[in-house]
Amino acid sequence: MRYNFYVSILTCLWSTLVFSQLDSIQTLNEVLVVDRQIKTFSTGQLVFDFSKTELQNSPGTLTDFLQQETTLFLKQNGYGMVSSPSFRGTTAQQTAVVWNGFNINSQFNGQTDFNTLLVDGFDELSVRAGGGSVAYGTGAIGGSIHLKNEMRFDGETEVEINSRYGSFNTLQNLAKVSTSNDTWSLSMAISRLSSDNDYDWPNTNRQNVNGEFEHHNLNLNLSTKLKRKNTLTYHGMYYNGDRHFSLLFPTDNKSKYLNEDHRHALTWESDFQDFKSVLKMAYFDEKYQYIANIDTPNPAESHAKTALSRYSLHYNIKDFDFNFLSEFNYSSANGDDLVEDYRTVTAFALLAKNHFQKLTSEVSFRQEFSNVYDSPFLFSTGLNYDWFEFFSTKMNISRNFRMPTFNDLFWENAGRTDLKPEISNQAEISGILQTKSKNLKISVTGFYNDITDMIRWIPAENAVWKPENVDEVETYGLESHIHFQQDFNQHKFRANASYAYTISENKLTGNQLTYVPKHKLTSGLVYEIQKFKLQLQGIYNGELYTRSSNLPNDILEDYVLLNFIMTYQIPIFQNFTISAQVRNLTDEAYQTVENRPMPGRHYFINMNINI
Amino acid sequence: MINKFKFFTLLLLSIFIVSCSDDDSIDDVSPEGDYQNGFFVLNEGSPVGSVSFMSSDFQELSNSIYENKNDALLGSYLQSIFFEDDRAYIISNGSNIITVVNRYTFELIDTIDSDLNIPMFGTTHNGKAYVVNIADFSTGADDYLAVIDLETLEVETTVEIGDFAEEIYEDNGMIYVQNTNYGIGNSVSKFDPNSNTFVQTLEVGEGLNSTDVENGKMFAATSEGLKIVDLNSFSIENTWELPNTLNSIQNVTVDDNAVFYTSGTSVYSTDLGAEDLSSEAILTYESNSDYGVFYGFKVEDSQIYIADAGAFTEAGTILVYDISGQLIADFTTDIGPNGFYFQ
Repeated sequence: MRYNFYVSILTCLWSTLVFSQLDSIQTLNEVLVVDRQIKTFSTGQLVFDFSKTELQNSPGTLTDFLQQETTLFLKQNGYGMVSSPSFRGTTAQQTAVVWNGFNINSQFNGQTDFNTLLVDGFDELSVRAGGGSVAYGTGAIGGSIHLKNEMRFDGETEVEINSRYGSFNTLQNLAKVSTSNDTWSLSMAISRLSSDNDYDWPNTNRQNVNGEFEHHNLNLNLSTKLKRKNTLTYHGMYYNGDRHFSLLFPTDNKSKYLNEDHRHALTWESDFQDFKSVLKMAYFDEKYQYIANIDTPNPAESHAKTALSRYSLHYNIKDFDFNFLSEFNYSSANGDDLVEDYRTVTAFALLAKNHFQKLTSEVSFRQEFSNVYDSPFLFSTGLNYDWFEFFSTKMNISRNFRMPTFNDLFWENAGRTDLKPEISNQAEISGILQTKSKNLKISVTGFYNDITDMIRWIPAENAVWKPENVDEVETYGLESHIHFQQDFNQHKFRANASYAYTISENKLTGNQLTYVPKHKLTSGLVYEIQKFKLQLQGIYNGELYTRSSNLPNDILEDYVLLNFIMTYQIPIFQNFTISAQVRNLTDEAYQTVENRPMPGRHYFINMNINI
Repeated sequence: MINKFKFFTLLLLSIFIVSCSDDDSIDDVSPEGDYQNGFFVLNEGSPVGSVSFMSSDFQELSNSIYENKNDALLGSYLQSIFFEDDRAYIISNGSNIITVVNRYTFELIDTIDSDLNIPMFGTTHNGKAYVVNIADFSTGADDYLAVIDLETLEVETTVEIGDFAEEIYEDNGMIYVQNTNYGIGNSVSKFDPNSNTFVQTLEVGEGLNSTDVENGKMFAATSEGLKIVDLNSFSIENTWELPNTLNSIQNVTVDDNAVFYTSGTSVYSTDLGAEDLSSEAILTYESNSDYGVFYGFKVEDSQIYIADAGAFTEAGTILVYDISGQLIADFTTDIGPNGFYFQ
């Protein structure tokens, strides 16, 4: 019966397409899967995984990392300042940041400031372009960024210390400990990043003023295997940021932003024969203070709390994977500018996947119910097909959404509870070429995304800005990735490149959205010989419009950034590596936001001890 | 090579012309500056603002005139300009800076950049400038008046206003401050520049949103209607009730014995001698956004100047109408046009 239901839906949606299977996800038994949905239910989409070594290789925050490694464009109000991504031509609020399976975008503005997340404490980061609302709810429109902590039960104990110092008195330290036996696993990471960030503005006689920041991040993960295949896991994260906002003009009032977030999640996982039952309870707390003038501080504060429980039942029978998901989410917020209120969201989702020879297919649905807005019916369907050993294709069609945030709903004298959620209907298709030896992998993806009822704050009477469901946007484009590696005896070469062509049009005017470059190219070259490693990284960001009118003068120029990294593993001390980096090698003067110059050539040295 | 050739030809030619003409005619050909006949449009910016100049025949528009002349920026969120002799003082409230330029050439003279904290509007009297500062946006308690010596361009003293503050006027040796802030506040206070003290406060009416001063009278738009304050006696001389058909009136401005105001996307006017406030629109214009209308509004020499800021993501639109409501000019300047200043 269930099978028939499943088949009929599939035939409906993909009547003309006949495909077969691919993906066999291999998870070592001793590693606990944290974010199960992305592992199992990404059919038709490409997922890029990055290991902790890669995360630690990049200085600083999520911004620095994603800018180099992905096709995302990130605009920053000067280095380290407010950073918002554009993922496939969408906005920051349409990019979900998922921490160990939970969407952690701010309750206030619905986005994550990518300069307030330190990545070096995490074990894995995955980037999935395209819709993900069925599994992750609001905001997963352009794509999702998944930060994960790994729980191992392999009896290993590891201590890692990483220390980086560089230009502008930038200091970054990480201490990480993990230990485990058959039944217990513990990992802890403390990281800290601070910088005076007082770089010279290229081609001017000015300096970046009031740009200093200091971030602290703490991750704690504890897991225990109980009797009868039960596992209990705790994930905790604490974040504290103290960031000044750099000045446009030397006489501007100096402002700063403090935020303190903590998040806790408890997971109880039980394995039965074909079933896996996962109960999660989580509590998130986010607090910020904005001080408009640090000389006469009068902080504006807001505080949001979220409690949620999620029950997830996985059923695996023969070639089928089913996942039933239900979630209840209660959030409340109050603040100097917010009317105190709450929002509840109840969600149900069903995800189903089938392997049949060379075809993997997936159909998923989600429906949410909220006390403050009407939620659309969401779905996602995907196909993977292995044509040959070296060539496969993927397709995905989905409907995703973004709900109005607390600011949209409850901002004093401006928020509106009659807002509708933003809705995105999208489709993508990919071709993946991979040689048998896996030396070369090429993927090309075409995507289309139609977004309606986009919420924008526009000026109303008396200079008050109010949110409205005004915009309709169409985005489409191409993404392509190449990975190549080759070893010649002791010489190891690796090369990566990605390119994105993005059109993101306001349907009313036909103009490209501001701060969405049409072209972005990244590349990385690595050469290793014995204990030496040389790396050259490049980014090309095409020109972009700063104004919605798209006039020829309203642009930021394109630019090329190069980084050079040299790493040496000290022979007498096996686990001690030292590296030096030159960033912005050619001293390019560039801006990602108008009138906000970024740093010229600068340097870092890095030491890593792994015991 | 060709460029050099052209340059020398021009140089020779200009020397020839100059040497052929007498001194008087040179003065006629090149007046005191480029910005002689016409008006300035102040563009608030997002966040960095600019100034545009339009010739009085609406034929020649120059944008970003300060940047082009001085290769520098004016600051964020430009609020207003005040003038004294041949100088223009451009106020940036985001950058706490007043840029002093020659009003005809827009060449930088100096900047006033200390002791200001969110400056908004300014006026001059007797060699001094009086500039309203908001300080902390959330409270009126710290709003103050900065008294600036126009010789030294230093803030001489600051005087607490004790209430919200926005527009400021000089009339007959006295300074008047509109005590409102983005729709909050209902009074006007009187400042004596001789003693540097606030001497009197007058409750004008609920919902006071804009004012204009002409010939010893202040015209004030409130939610009750239009009030006329006699500045000499500092009392309300007349109240024109809000017509039933209008929800509210805003953007009051006086020109040639008539008072002009706006409601929605329409412009109205009432003769100063009239009994009641007119509710018959002179013109209604189409705004491409429902909001951002009348971000700047002024009537000068029987021409109506409207600035529509749209959605603040691209250059705003300027519309000029004659007094009968006929469109005579239409052009765009820069982000957030908020004021007109006539030469």
